[in-house]
Amino acid sequence: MKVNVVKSVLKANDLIAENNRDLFRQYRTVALNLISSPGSGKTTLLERTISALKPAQQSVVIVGDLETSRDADRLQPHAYEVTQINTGLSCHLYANQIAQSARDLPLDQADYLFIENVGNMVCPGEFDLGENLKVALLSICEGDDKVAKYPTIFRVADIILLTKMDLIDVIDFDMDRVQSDIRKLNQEAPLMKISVKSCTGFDEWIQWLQDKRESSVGVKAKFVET
Amino acid sequence: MHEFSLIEAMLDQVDTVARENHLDRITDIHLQTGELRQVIPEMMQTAFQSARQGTVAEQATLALTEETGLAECQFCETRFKPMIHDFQCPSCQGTKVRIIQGNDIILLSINGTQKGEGAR
Repeated sequence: MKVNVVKSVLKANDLIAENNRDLFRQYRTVALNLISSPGSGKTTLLERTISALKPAQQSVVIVGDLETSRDADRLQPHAYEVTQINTGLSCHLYANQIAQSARDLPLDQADYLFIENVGNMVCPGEFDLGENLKVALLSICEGDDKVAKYPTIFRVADIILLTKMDLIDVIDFDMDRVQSDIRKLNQEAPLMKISVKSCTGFDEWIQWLQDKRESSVGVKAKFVET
Repeated sequence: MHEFSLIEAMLDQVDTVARENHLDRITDIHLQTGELRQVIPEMMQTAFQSARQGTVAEQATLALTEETGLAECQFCETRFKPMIHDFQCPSCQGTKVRIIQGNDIILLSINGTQKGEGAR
């Protein structure tokens, strides 16, 4: 017997992602999905970012890795609450994992939910988690050819961060090439050059987060007056 | 590597459709892959061979059809065929586009047998 289906295989994931987005909207929490290769500086960026946002704005984190709770251990002192997801063999997070984790997170207290996806430049771009904004990172150590090689995450990103800029003088990195490759894919997303070591561009990133929070939720922080 | 994730998602859906239609053995699966998803057919087959073990599609074959990519510029409404690494509109050079086709992975059909029924 033949059954005509004609349905997206990502439909099941996308439906849960939409529910997640509704949930974040209800709580007025802005959810960001951080996507990049392993070692590009997601966790370090979050450590500094969450600290810089406090005390006016609180953050909760969901972090995905194949194994260990190392990232959660690092982020725990900074964030209001952190949940680590160990994905085992899966190279990205699914919307249902976010739905389950979000249930146990104090979203009512959180201005931001940072989702640190599994380090991978391909699959995380395929699976909607229900985030409001996608953040793509590329550390300059990875090479200036990566935007063209792994274009999808840069095309769908709401902001692109070039990280580890403090190393720019010791690495052969053709900035013009990267900017030109990004321009062919995504002229809407701001491109920020940052370093958490030298603090280059860091204030600009924090300002972007706060502006986005205000424009998407209407208020800068949930408990700004208290 | 994303082929494995996509095949797993497909097999979940195959399993659901099989249950709904009381199929206990799937013989054929027809999947349409969007060009812009950068799916490698050989990798899809390899992933399928491994992931189908122990599922209702254990003995099924997988047929793949690719759908060409098509985008429409949000500024000047020009329709064009984007390249994976270049989404610039050929008319106005903008990159704010709506993808019309070629960005999805769609389960088109499955073929299977119901309990007590021979393969057709």
